[in-house]
Amino acid sequence: MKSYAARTRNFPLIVQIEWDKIFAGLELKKFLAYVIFVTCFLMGALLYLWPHMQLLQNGFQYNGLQVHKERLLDENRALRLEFSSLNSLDRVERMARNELGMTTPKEGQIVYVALESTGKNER
Amino acid sequence: MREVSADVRTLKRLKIAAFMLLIFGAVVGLRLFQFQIIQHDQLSAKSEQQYLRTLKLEPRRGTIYDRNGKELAVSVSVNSLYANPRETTITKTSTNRLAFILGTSPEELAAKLRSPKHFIWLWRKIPPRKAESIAALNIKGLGVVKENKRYYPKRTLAAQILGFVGTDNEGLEGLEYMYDAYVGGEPSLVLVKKDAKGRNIYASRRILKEGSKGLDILLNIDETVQYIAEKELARQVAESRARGGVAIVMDPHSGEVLALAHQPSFNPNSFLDYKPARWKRSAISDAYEPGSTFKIVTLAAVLEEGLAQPDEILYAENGTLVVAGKSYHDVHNYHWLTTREVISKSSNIGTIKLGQRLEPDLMYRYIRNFGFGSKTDIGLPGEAKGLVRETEEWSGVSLSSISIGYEISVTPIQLITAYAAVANGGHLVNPRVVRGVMKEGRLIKEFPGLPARRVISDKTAEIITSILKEVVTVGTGRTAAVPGYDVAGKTGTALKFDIELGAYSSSKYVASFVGYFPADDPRVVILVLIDEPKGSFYGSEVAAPTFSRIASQVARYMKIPARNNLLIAAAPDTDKKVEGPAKKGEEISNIFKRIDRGLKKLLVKAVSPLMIPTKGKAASYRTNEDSS
Repeated sequence: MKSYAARTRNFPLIVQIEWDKIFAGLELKKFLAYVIFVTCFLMGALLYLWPHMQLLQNGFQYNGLQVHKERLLDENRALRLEFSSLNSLDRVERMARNELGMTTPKEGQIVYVALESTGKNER
Repeated sequence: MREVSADVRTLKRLKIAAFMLLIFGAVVGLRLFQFQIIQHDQLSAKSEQQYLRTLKLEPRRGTIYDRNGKELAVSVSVNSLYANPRETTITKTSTNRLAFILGTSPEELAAKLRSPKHFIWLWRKIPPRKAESIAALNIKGLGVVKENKRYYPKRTLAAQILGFVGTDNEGLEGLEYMYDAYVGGEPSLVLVKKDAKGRNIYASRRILKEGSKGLDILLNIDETVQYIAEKELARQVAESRARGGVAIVMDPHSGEVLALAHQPSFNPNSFLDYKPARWKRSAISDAYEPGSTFKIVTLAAVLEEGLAQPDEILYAENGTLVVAGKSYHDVHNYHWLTTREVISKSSNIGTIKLGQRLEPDLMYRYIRNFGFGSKTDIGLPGEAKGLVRETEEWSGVSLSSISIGYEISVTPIQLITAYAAVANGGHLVNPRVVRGVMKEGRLIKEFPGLPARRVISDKTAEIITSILKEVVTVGTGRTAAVPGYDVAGKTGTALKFDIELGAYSSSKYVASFVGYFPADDPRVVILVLIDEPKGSFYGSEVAAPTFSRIASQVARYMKIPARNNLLIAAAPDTDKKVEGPAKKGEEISNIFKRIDRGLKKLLVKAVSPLMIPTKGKAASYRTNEDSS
């Protein structure tokens, strides 16, 4: 049985990676340079992408808060509508008459306080 | 040898594989060329469609406020229910439940949900509680979108003025229609990117079209005055079993309309439940022959032209006068009357005789000067001009008929504006319902109206006021009197023209009263018109008492000083009098010092009251107040 190297020697399409040789020939300085380069590249990519990611997250958060704010405003409007409806004068008068026993003042029940003089244009 | 042939075979296979890969690569390359170069624009647009979305942000319609900032029309967000029939999966039980909530039959609902469409509305602007019930059914394929719904919290109050909006929030009637451009706002178009979960990515937001929120409208209408006018008008229309009625309250100096009441009314929250005739603003769109209330125009013309004197005596022909073959009558037969009495007793014959002193052209000029035959430009849709014929079209009896308010049609708003001119010393003002447009609580645009123009002199106006006061003190308008105030006004009872008969009806009347108070320094002018009252039909019996009731309540509400008095308050069941006159400008607390403690408390409690506690309740009021 021939070795894998022997069997593939005549076929240039097949590349045999000889890791031992690669590592054997690699100096420590070069290796460190590779590591620093890769680290810098990753850091750079991270620095570039981080604000974008953060912006995206903030955008989602903002949208969520906007929806929440709109919901609260809707609730406020609905409550004000209810308040306005409950303050309708026909309802107030009905309650004043039926529940509080109030009545429209008659002529004898109205008290006037005389002024010494009233100018024509005085309002 | 065997080994070589094996290698050759392998090589051959590899060559075939490489060729296949090449073909595959070529196909991929060509497709890439097609996608990236040939169809680039088309495909990139298609891909954008999938993650870009244009949002149409509907503007919230502005609020309509009364003059004191009370909300009369507001918009709130509600849900609208839709279905995607292609995605909807629903059981028979759920169909029945949903149909019950929607108020439709299960068969009808099922048919709707079988539609091949992707989107159908099930219920636009659904009430919140119904929306909750539907959400609890948890049916797949149903969804809700937020929409704005218009509400009128005061229900029937000022319904004809406010009008209403359609399903898509477009103004259809009244102020909603007239001021739609302001109150409606403009929708915004925003382009947003969506992530894989369909969430909006805020950072990518781009405004395609800047919209605007609907502006708020501030009215001159006062909710309380409007309520008083509507309440008293409704009471009279019901008592008289009348076809309808109108009541208008206006500031004679500024032309601000404080109330514009119509009967019968309708609820704009459910306007489709009413006949369209109820939506109409009769006060500005219906012209009618005014009858005796129009006599002040004749009076103003003869006094201004110096053709009559207030105390001059006229012969009233004992109740019958024939002009060009047409007979005119008075309700009572009079012989000799002064000009004052002609108006205070509402003598047709006396007024005709005054009118005959005017040339037709001069009479016509005064009619037009007082604003009849022209729109008042009140700021509401559908205003009528009335009918004032040119003098060339007048017959031999026209001058006489017009002098007493026939052969001429006027709208109630025109008539009250003419009375306002007399009340304010001779200036015809522009009646206005809307004060202006507001943005974030600030008035940014005002509608001051047309400048007032003088139609009669101050002196003539003063004389007419003194005569109109007599109408209320000794004349036909005594039932219009308001305790504590001098009132000036005029009654009117006019026969209605029956179009079917082609003649005046013998049973259909329009009863009216127009007046103002305090007569010498008017704060409000009020018109009351009752259309086709049954039983009593005279203005003095039907309209004048309504005027009195409205005026007395408006006086208390607006704290209008009474005849040389300061109206302070009302107190229940007391005959106590305040000792000594109060000094002008004196603090109310000083005045109270002269009033006993018990009464004082009630006075404080009831400053500017429209209602007061009854005797029994007053005691409990005091007790509660003391204990607190």
